[in-house]
Amino acid sequence: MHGRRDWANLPPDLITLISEKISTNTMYVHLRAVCKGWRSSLTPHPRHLPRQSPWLLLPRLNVHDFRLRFYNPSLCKSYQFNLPYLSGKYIYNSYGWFVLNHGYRVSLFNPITRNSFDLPSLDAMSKSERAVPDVQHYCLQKVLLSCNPSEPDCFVVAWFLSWSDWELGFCRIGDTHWTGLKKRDGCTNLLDFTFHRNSVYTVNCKREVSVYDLQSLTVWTYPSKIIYNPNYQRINLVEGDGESGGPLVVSTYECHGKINITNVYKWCDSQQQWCLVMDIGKRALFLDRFNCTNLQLEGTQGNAIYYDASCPLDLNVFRVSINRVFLKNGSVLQHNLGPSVVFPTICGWFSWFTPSLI
Amino acid sequence: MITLISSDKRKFHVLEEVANQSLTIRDVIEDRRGRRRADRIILVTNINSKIPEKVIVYWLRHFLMPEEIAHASMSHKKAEKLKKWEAKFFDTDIDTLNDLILAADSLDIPSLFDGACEKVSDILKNRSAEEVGEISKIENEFTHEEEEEEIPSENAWVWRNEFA
Repeated sequence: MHGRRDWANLPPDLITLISEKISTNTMYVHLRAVCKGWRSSLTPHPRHLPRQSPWLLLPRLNVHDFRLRFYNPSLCKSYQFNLPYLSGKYIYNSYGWFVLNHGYRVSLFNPITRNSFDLPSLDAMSKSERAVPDVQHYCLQKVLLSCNPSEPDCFVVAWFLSWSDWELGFCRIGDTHWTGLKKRDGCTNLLDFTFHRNSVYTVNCKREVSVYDLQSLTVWTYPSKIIYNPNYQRINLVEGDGESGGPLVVSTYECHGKINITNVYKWCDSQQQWCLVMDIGKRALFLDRFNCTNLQLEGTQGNAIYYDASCPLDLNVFRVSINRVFLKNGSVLQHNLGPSVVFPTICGWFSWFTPSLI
Repeated sequence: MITLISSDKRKFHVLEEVANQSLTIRDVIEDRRGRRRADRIILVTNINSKIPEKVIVYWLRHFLMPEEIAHASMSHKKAEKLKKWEAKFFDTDIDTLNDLILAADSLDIPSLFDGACEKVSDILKNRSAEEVGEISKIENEFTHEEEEEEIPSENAWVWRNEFA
């Protein structure tokens, strides 16, 4: 090089190593657009990026609405994806992937990369336990992934509304059928479930905790109960942080269409019971009506729960806003999104989406 | 004592123990052990003299606490101090960082490489592709089609803000 400083001619492996210090996908996309050399050196699907700061997914106008509209609170930007492919499909999202269900067909779809994976159809399941032909016995209620499906060993766990003796089923990418997880006594219904260290934790309406090991298909059930009032509160199971203890439970109640947080509990394996927590360290929980995501993010204030608190301004305009609840003292702060974040009026539920480039 | 010679023929005398932080140099010395004195001269032809100076300063700073670094048991205060020193060390223009990265790569000094890359990514953080191109004086060389169609269509959302 003899003193000739040339960023464009950095060897490809060096530019790759520099790109690995980048932690957001916006930055990464910009880096790939700097010049031809960098573009060809850097993979479009980097695997080193951590889980991203979530975007708020705005509700669709109806089931045939194929536009996905997001608001990115960390950059105060909004995005719209026109994806006619999504029209008429039920969607749910996990790890930046949408779970699409249309009739019997189920698939995973990443709106950023447009990659997709087929999952086992619900048809096969109905046939194996055929009771009444041509009636769909299973419909999806909630689906979670254990990790990004582009990574090896990803489990997909689905909560079905069904008429058989199981509600939870799982599969791996490439499987031809769903494997059912039997209910312990065949009659108690599920309240929620989550992944934690490749096991599925569930709470049923008797408030018992069951832990399913997906490798050995064994299940343990603990009678320990969460303190909450099922008449007006609901509970959301949340994955743990992988280091200390088990999964979390956030109990919430709704008042005039707004979410209020009551308590956060953590499952203690050693004591086999739920313990109240006031401190989750640097981690933050992103709560929506269907799910709650546990993330550790750069530059986001931790030890807090974030949830949507959007409200209509008038008949045509809707202002997006986010509430932040500090776990330490329970105080609520409205997250400032700037003055101009208004959307056409919408009804339905908001959810969080963690965009992924792989 | 070993001698490094830069591309502009300047000589740098360094203690072997200090230069050992470069895995490349350590291997070369190991290979030539027991031979004549002249073999203790190492040409670092791909870098100009400004860079060996910086690299040696970096080595000396790290040489003062080699064990602590190796065992990661550095006291909190010392670690803070080193962090501050490194921040100052890497607070330089982007061209010098480029040279440091190339030098750290060819001499195989992992911590220096990491530090310099970290600083570069800090500089690049929250800048658009155009800004990065300007800072690093890169011509993007994209064809009109690539610039107008391929790149924006691949990750269009990055460049948009729909409802503002």
